[in-house]
Amino acid sequence: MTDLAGMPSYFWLISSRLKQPVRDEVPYTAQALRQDLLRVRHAWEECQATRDRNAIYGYLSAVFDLVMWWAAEGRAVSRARWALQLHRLDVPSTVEPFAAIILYTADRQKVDKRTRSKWSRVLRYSAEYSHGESLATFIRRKGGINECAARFARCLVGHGRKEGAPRPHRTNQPWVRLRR
Amino acid sequence: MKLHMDEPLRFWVDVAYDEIKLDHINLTRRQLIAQILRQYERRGDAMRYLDNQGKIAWKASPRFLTMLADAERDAQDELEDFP
Repeated sequence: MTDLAGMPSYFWLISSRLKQPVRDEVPYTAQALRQDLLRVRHAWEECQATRDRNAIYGYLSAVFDLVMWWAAEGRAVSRARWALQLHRLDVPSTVEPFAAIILYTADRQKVDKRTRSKWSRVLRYSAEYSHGESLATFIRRKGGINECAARFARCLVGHGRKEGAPRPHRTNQPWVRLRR
Repeated sequence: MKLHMDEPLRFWVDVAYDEIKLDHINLTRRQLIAQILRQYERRGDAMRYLDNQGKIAWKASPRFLTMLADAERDAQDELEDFP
């Protein structure tokens, strides 16, 4: 049990001037989005500050967790777009949310387009098949980052796309819910 | 829909609710809790996530937990200095 004696009032004081209209739900504001992105950015910095080869999972988990709750609200693509706009980055016509958040939060000198694409495939594969298992455990169990990226590519082929053929703009693949 | 929270966040949201409820007797508990969460989220103390059941829930952010741990340590030290 936390003892309130001596604790700074910061922890419980909030502005009592409530902005209208007061709602039952909590709207997701630009400031909240900035805070979410800042946490992912911190996860990136932490993973860069260590030599632990597993540290990248901390960063990928932060990206994954953020996009997954966006996706649960059916807002993954629109919020990824919003994030890119906040950073005044060019918003491509088709936004893949995982790739967009990696683009926004990781150093572009260290994470090139190919790596970003690979990580995005790993995260999309995990979104489809991890079923609540921790991201690091799932990826390791499936053979690691490269293997998960390859598995995702095989899923694409397995779902009717010929190897080497361009990806269709719209698909009915399972991860399509992330496109909303 | 219920607002699910982890234990540390629930504790501090309840404390904040008790602090302001008398100033807003026209609002429901749900509305006040939503308003508190909104402010906590804006200042980076609370965050949403997908829980094991695939539902969106709330938890204290890592930054908030670190600040709490620091503050609790400081408060403990002060209590020991001035019993």
